[in-house]
Amino acid sequence: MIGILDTEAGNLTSVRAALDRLGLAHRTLWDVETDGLDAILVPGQGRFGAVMASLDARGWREALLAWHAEGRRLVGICVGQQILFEGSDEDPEAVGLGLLAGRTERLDFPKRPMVGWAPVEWQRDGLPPGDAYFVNSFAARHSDAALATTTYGERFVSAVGSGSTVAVQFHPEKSGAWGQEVLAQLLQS
Amino acid sequence: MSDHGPRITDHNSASPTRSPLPRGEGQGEGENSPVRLGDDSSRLGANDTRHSTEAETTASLQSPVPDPQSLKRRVIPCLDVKDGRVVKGVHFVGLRDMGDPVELAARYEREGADEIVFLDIAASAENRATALDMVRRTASALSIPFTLGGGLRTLDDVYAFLDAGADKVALNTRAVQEPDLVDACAERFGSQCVVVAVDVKPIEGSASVGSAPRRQPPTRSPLPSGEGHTDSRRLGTEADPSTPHSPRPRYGVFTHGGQRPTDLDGAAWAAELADRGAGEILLTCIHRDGTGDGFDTAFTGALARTLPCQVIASGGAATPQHLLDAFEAGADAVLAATMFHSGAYEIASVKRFLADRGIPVRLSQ
Repeated sequence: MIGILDTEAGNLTSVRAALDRLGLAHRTLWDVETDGLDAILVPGQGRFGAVMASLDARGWREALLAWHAEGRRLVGICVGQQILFEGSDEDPEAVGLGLLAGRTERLDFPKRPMVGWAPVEWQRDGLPPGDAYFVNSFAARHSDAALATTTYGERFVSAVGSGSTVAVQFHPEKSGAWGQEVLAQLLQS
Repeated sequence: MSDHGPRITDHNSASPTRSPLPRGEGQGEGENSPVRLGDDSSRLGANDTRHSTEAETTASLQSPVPDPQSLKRRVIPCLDVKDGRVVKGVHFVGLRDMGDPVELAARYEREGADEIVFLDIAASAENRATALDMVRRTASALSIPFTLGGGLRTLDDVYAFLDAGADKVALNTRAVQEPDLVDACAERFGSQCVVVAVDVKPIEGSASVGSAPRRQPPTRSPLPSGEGHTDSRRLGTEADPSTPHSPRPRYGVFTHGGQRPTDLDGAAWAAELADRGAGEILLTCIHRDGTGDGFDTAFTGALARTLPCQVIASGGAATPQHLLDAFEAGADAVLAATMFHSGAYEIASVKRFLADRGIPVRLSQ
């Protein structure tokens, strides 16, 4: 059972549909409750600060940190990757989960926002190479936890991993058959 | 704050019950740092093999847009729908229901389409439920992004379709009538989901007047509607000094499916839309639409290489060469309908054709 954490940052239709296509059972999480979950998925298209505020209002910051500390699977998408860091230039006052050192910065994209397909260069074996669909203006320029990088004007971190937590800056649920495969591996590995 | 300058802040007129869909990630303002990760030079994509054309050379002189490692160029089939049915002739074998836009879109996804655009050509309040149902079914069926255009008049309309699962909406006539709606959508939902369709064609007798995009978009009119503007978007009031290269005809903006002329200059209007927060411009050159003569690459390329947002070329595509021409001129994406609907070309083979000629496209793994 996958728990899709509602961060009030856009509709969850695409993520739910992707899990349906993968045949993975899921439920949407609002209040903190994690019974019976195999993984928590944090999707997101919203602002960094708004997402953190939404999580804090329901006690999810502590719950997610505990979930990670217990070695349970936590998967982030887009803003779901960004909140793993300490902060973001998007909302400098907001405090991220801090599972990863560093912060998310506004990147020098040729055209902004970055909307479209770009290659993901995995830095570790196991995940398939391919083109991912990105929608973002912010990303981490570097991270010791980088699993992949992507270049659009400049290079940035397009996937991270730390312990049982993994996250991607792109949208696997919108990245075609390749994205489905990546999402399945992230959730189940 | 946004990436695109000042915005209106009063967009409370349409508040859905819940607070979903705040501004998309990355729409906020942040500080840049020059720190880079690694050596960018190791990642020269296929872009460096892009062909140089006269139009490209000309455009590059005025273009601030670098084109090092760039996004894949997108190939986007466009489905005209009416009452939830595809209306342009589709001649596929193997589709259970050729009139079902969702089934057709899913087929195009399997063929390698990078995105799907649905244009609801007869959108009305009466068929709103049908259109929303189509969007919901599409969101469940597709694993690539899709855009819905047609009949979007208010922030509530836009919200309804985004909430139903559309990744983007395309505004057209309404953006001309009420330009502030573009700002409001970008502010509320994020530029990444705001496409503005711009329908243009050359204005006769204007070939001696430069028409490249303005570097500085004109100041926004305080008026909420397109009426009564006296700013420099207007045709014939603008002497743009930024385009000494070659005289080109002026392009006028048309609305209502290309039927109704406006007094807007195409290049200036597109620049203003980018400034207002449009994430992409869907540029249809209506003098080419349906002709099969290929895109108007000179105008499309000049815009694509100058605007800070992406430009989708539309109107006239009939062969893979036409798509190649548009990309070589600088288009970020191409929209095509008949050449795919007719079965004349399959998207996968078209993308292979483009890749073989140095255009970076997404190919199936």
